[in-house]
Amino acid sequence: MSVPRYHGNVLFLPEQLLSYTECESRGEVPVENKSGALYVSTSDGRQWVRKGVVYDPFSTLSEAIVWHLARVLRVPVPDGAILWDGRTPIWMSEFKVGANQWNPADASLLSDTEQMGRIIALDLLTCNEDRHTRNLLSTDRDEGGLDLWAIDHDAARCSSFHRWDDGTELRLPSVSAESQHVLKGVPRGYFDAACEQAAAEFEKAAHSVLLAALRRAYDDLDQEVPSAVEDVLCTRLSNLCEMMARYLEVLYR
Amino acid sequence: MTPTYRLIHFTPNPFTGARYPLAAAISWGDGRPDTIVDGHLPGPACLGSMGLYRMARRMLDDLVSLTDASRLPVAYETVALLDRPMRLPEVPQPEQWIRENLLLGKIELNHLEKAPQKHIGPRRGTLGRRFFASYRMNHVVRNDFNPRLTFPDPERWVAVPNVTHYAGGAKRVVLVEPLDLRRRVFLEDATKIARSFAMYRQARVSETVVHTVAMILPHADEDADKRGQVVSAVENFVDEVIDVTFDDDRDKLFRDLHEAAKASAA
Repeated sequence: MSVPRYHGNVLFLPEQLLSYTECESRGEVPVENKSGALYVSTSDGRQWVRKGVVYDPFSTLSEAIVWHLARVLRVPVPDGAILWDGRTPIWMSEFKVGANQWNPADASLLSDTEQMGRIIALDLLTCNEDRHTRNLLSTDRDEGGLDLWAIDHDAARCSSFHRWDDGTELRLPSVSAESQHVLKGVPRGYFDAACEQAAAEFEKAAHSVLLAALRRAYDDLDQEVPSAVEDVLCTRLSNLCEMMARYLEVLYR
Repeated sequence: MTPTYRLIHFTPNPFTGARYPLAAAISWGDGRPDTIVDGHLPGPACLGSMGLYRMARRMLDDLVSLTDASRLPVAYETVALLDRPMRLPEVPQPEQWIRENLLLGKIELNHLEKAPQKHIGPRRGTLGRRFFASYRMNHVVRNDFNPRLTFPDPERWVAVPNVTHYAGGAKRVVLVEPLDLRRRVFLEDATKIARSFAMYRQARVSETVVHTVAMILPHADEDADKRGQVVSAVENFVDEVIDVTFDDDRDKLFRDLHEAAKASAA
């Protein structure tokens, strides 16, 4: 794996996802809506949560794209890996000991609000519509305070940006009223400054770096990047602050 | 319906298979279950890290208000396991029976139990600072109000504690103490604040208008009981209890702080 190099808030060399062809199951993940997810270990001693086998060709690609973008934009995500089951890639996320699912009532315990801001901004950039309390983990720091870990990005729509109609590049991720969004219950405005700041930082990030990360994700899955995906990503990136203002309205509606 | 109990195991690492029976939920057949959460909690060295210890403590705090014995709070699905329902034996004190026979025991090590508890978790002042910073109020609200440096006759103020946050100065000062319902010691915090502000009331100076505020930090609806306890503990000793979970209350507090700061600057 390449050594990460940062310039300001941006990582320059895209990392490479770890790749495996076999793993050993250690039991099912006992969580609702995680059908088929398993705790697994690999021959190098690492421990992972392996997603269930999915037949949607875009889901693992979405995971890989979001993971690479997260790494260059310093959004907290666990290590990621691809398990090749024959020719089918399955996403694996590093197991974090003692990670529990996000409870909005813990908002005041966060080590900093910046982490949440970056996660929301990444969701906006990649049009991830699946950010509920089960897809955000928190771990306790030894010295106090909580750290966040964003997981489960298979529903991010970035892998199908090339299918979007013209003129809809700036669409917001939809948020249903019933979904337990991670900000539900948090007073309006508590994370606004962090979200706005993250959007502004992402907007300033070098497009070339983000496109390199995007290409790396497609490489990891032996695919070519459709140029339309790059175009939509860059358009969204250039308009992220304006989109964030609208998105915050949607999140608190 | 036959009363049943379910053990709640802390399972922070499924790869080790370790399970710690830390709590139990008793269903009597009608309504809310009783939870037993006061068994022995292993220390950080036994659980693996200080972080895991903190989380186990937070989980036990939250389990007190468990409303449904058939499922754990969503937040703890990945780190806890609700065991299958078992019939409660017909013993005179079933809660005690569970404590003594099923939960991790309290070993009689009196010297350890009497050892002073180390403070766990961020301090209230830190939580308050983070709250004000997140609303960009940190240019208005200042930290650590010291009455001995502000009011005349410092001797009168020797026993009066500093206050974590304030705005204003010589003419009018708004003193704010944050309260976090998630802290295990939230009631002790409330008592401490009540005592502190009671002292300010006693020692009030004629030259300065002192307005004291107990600020309840954002919390979940499920914490309504704790909120009630906190309000009861402080309401007779502070000028205002403000719950910043609610937009109107929060806005009012921010207005007061702005006005006090402005008056002080003038």
